[in-house]
Amino acid sequence: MVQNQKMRWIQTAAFLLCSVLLIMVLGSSSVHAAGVSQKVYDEAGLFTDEEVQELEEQAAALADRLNYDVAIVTTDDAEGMETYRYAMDFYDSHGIGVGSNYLGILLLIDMDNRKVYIDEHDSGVTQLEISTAERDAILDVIMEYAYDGDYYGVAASFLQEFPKYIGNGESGVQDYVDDQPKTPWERMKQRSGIAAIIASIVSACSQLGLRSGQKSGGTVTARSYQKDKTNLKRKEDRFIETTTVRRLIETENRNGGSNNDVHHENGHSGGGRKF
Amino acid sequence: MLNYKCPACGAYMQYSAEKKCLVCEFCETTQSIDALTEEQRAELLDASSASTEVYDEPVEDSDGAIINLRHYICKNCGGEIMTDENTAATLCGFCGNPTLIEDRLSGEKSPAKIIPFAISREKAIDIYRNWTKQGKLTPKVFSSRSSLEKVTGMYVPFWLYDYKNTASMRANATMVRTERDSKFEYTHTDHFDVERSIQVEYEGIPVDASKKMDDNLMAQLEPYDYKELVEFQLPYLSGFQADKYDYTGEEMKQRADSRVKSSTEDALRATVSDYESVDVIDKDIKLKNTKQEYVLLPVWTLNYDYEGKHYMMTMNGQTGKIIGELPVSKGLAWKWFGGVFAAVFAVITLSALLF
Repeated sequence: MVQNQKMRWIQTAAFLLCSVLLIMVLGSSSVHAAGVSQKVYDEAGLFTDEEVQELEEQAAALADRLNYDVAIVTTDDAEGMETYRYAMDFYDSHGIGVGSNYLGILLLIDMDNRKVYIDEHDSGVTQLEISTAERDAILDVIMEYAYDGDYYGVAASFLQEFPKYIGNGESGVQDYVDDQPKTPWERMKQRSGIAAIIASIVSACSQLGLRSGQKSGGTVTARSYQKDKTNLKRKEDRFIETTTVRRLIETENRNGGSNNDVHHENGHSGGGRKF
Repeated sequence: MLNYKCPACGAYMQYSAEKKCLVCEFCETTQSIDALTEEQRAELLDASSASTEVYDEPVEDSDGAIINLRHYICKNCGGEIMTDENTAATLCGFCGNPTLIEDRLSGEKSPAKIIPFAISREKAIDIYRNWTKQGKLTPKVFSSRSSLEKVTGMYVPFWLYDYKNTASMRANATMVRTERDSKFEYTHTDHFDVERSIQVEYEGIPVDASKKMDDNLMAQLEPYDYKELVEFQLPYLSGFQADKYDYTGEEMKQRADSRVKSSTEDALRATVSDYESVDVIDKDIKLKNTKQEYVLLPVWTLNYDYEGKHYMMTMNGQTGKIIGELPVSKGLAWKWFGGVFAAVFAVITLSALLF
């Protein structure tokens, strides 16, 4: 009998160990690869082959160095979508992004809507996100090329400008990347402290819930004993006067002329300008 | 002291919530209370029990006040029954013989009406047991039959108050509408002088008149269905405990007043709707108490001591609504805490293998 129990314990322990190892193997293989190899998607045909080649090399080098995916997209058919929506959909549907949070940045030159748009995917989990002011600063530089019809200039200047701001400059990005645990065991170790805090909070909350389940009660108001409906003896509503306040409606065109188009959605954040 | 004896076998009879009449536990003879004539009632009474009162004993209660404990001899077993000054019905602690003290519920002290128990003792135990199962931290020993057997049926004295209140108010109210053209948004605020006057009636605002019962617990047991109020008759108390009131109707009226006052104010305020804002500048609430009635309402109580703390759970003897707090087992609480902690900790740390 005791022997059987011992055997069952050993079997259970072995099963749990195998399960953990299997999860580790599957887990390590499921981590998203460091971005996709293609970086330039010139669907509007704005660049020459040489320019595409050059942009590909620069973007790939940047992505490798920052551990942060970079994509340059042009289109002359936004498929009826607004520029920001096309950029987000393109990002999500083409597997762009590094790691489990799909970190990366995309520049879209939308000839259909005549707009340049920068879309960043950060999921709000890192400090890498570019602020609106920083994005404006990038757009200030690259839009000069757009107004002149130099779309290669837009893309090339973008690759030069954005690393200055992302994560407070390139060193900031590198610090963040270096801080990231590389193996599942390292991640587990890093998360154990947070896990203990969250587990304590959840356990304490569950105790509150369980203890409230130990009580039963509920009062009724005197209204429950009201005999009939309220008998309204007198009802007078005398109009006295009307006061009016007028407010100027602010429109985008009156907002300093920057004509910014800012969006935050599902881990994406971005902004753009018409040209 | 009074007892009702079975006309067939002479054993003592108790009121049955299920059969809604007096029932002999031994030969199951039943006797309808409504159909009893004065003669039949006199015949049912155990005449020999009239001289069972033996002596009074003044004692000091927990608040330092002197109360008079009265001792009786049970005619059934000879055991001593001890009551305080207000006990009107009780059971012998030795043989369970139902005993009524008539003079404490007669004349001015006689209740006008009573709602007889609709929940039987067995059903009350079942309801308590089901309730204990809802509390995941309830100690197992508490759900046991022996613990729940301590349930006691008690008629609690209540005063019921009727009101015919009038209220009026004057207020400044506003309605807001907006419109816009290509450049501007216009906000128009219409100002009104509003006057309202209402009459609202309440029937049977209950206030418990017993010192023993916790006012808050009793208030939460509401509502009772007053359609089942019947003329008070002593036989309804047979088999239960009952107290006469500790406080008069005038003494308790203030509590009823405060309940209807806030409700009348709410009813008045509810007549001013469809406005964006209402600023009351004048209000007058007049309470008019038209009737007060002394009644007995049925309550099942369960007293339990666990780890030095006293727990009192009460149940509406008509509807089965339970009010109270179940004891908490420290062992079960720690097991739940540990289980939830381990599960959450494992999920979060193991998720690191995947993400």
